[in-house]
Amino acid sequence: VNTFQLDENFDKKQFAEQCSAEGHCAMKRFPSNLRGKKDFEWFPILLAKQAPVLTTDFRIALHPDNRPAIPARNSGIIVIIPKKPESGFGSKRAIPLIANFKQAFSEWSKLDWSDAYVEITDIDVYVTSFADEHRISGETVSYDDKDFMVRLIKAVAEAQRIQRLTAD
Amino acid sequence: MADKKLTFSRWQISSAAKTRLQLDGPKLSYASRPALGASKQLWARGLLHDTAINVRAVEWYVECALAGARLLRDSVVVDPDQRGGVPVLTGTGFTVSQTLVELADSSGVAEVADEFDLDADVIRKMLNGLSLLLEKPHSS
Repeated sequence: VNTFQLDENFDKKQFAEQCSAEGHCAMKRFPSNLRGKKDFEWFPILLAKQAPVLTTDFRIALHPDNRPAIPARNSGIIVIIPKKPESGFGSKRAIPLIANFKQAFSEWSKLDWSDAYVEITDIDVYVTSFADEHRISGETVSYDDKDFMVRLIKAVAEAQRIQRLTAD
Repeated sequence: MADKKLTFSRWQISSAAKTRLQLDGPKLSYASRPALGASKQLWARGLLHDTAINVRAVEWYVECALAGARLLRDSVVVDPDQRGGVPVLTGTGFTVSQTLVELADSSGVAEVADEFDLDADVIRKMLNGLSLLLEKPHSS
């Protein structure tokens, strides 16, 4: 069973409990000793572990000061974000997006997400590597794509390959 | 009366208007001054009425802004090294924006505080601070 790590901004108790109860993964809440810490303080700690960080804050990995704090080999970051900010985006809207993704990609709990940066939106999934500093050179895989699963797995593998080349 | 004079000078009201205001004071009792003609009484009433409201309102807005800023200072942190400078609740990495949307989607402060392990008092201070800062007219 894969373990996922909630970011402090998405650290909802009920969500963590429900996910863990489903049995497909273990959902870890944000460690209390890291609450309120600066980004560059908690990044190296949580991203150095095995559990991909699940967040609704896409900026955390984009900020120039945060990039050096991301370990070259890392757990991966999965961002839940709407394609367009048409309304306030909280856990109430993020959780259905995750459910939608799980339904479209049944292998989600078995796939290795390490070293990949992933954005799950309401209509597609964007994957790139951390070497892509501005997150613009990745691949977007639409839910409408008939080969959605295959393309997504390939996109993650490619992001990992690029990141690991950079790390090595 | 001294306070009134100070306030008026801040707002650069004409000498004639100041004299009229000083004559009548804050009671706006022009109706009891039959020496003024009807049209002048109306003009004076309008001036005094609007001026009194504006001065009081501006004082109110300033007091609200100060109180709001104090509450936000105690409940919100803006640090470039936390969430890239997006405002967060004090002692957390939980953004104010996220707090507001969670509140909109919940039954209230207690629920959000419980679900996200946040301090309910900090959330309330932030909300009250924002409320006070928004307590003023904004031109379109």
